[in-house]
Amino acid sequence: MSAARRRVPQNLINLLLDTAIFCAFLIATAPRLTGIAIHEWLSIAFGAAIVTHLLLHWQWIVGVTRWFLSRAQWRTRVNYVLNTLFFIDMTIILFTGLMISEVALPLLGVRVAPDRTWRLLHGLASDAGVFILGLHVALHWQWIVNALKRHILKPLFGSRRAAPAMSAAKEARS
Amino acid sequence: MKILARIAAILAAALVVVGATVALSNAGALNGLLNAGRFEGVRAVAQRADAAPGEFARGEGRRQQFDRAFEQGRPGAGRPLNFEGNFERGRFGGFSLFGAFELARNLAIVLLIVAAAVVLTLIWRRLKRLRSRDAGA
Repeated sequence: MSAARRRVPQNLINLLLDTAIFCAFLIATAPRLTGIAIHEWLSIAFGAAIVTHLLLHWQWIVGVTRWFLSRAQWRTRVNYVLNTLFFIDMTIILFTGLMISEVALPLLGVRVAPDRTWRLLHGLASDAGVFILGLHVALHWQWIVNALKRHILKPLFGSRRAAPAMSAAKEARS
Repeated sequence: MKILARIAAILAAALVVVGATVALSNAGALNGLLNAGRFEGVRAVAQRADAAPGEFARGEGRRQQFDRAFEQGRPGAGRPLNFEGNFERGRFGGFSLFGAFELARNLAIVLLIVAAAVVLTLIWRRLKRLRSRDAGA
């Protein structure tokens, strides 16, 4: 098998990582479900996943930043503005989360004086994050559907459909 | 090396956001946003003209006064402040069905937004097609 064949498609990597980030975000926004310790550690891991997500889409970020005012289509511009808002919102959520951390930071020996502003801002930014996430997913819906069909549904069910077709062709030949 | 530079750029951008947030918070610009309509009772205590002498210790800033008033005004005032104040014992203790509801609610919001966007896109495309057909006829 050649190296090119063995390589995992970039879209599949994106799809898997984005699905993991989506699930992690939903779980992290429900701290009653997991308890505070999992909520905090999952959110810190989530921050690392966001950095990875941004690295995987670096060419798009650089390209649109360069051509935002001149060449970019309106849909791309909307996407870019929304993604910027999402980045700002995520940064605020993570930062305020660290500022009110009860488990993760104290475990690392860092203690921050409790401040109600960070708590309120954390809640507000998290609520806003759910809505921005909805818009982010909506804007990429077509890509998600296509990637799911190509990398998940087709390999799973396409081969089953192809098998009867192949046997029918063999019968016809014989 | 390239990846490290990119990570540094992302972290620098995040740092700018954090810096702006801290600056806005220190300037008191976030108070209006965060407290709008949420703590009327608390604000009333903080701004009460007939507040008893010493109710707010001298030398306290407005922020500390607000925090103290928040403490006095919230249910169960006087108890030691736990995480989130009103999210007392059991709030983050472990698995609870209310947490599952929270997750389902957020998922429903995301799905609703996606469904609305997909429907709007379909309507927009159909309208565009009809317009182009009318223009052609």
